[in-house]
Amino acid sequence: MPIMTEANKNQVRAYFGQLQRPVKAILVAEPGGGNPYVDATRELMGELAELTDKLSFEEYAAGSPEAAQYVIDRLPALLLLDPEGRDRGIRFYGAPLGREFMPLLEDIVDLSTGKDDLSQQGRAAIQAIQQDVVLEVFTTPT
Amino acid sequence: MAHMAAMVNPRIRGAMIDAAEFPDYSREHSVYAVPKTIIKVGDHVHSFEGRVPESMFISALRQAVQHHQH
Repeated sequence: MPIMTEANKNQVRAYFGQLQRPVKAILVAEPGGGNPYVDATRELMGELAELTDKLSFEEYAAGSPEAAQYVIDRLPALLLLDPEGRDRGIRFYGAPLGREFMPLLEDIVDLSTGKDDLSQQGRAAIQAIQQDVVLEVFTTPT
Repeated sequence: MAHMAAMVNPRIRGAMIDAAEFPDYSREHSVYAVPKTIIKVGDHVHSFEGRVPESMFISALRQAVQHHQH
């Protein structure tokens, strides 16, 4: 079942106009299927990838050698790779719908353009951190 | 903000979690209101609720990191 309406697609297509370099999204899910959140994520990412040639989408089964390259704390996980194919530590656990949808689009644009919305001072403060940090933001789908 | 932090610092991993899909994990972290951000540094877990401006996000992050150093 489609997730985005034609109007949604047109808006996203316009928003994706600012994309510059290719970004790759990877869904890692438990094999076997039957998880509606995974189905929704797969459908959504497929629809997004159809709107631009700057976004590709692949799915790996959890436990596969492809998935094992990435640190994943829970499943299903959506990862975004930058234009160099590097994992930049961006994760969505669960379907990136509702409140997570705009952040997903923004992340794709940020990775594609190499820009972020941080202030210079803020970026410097974050870059100065020399410990491993895991940030987790809980949101809801609605 | 968590994703931007991850983008600019390879030692940071930033995740958005759909609380409805991970109810047990959400309970573990006492998620009663969203957005709720948790900051894990080693075994320490810090948290704050709500959408905050960049300056507050960064001070929470620095506090978590400094706390861990002591």
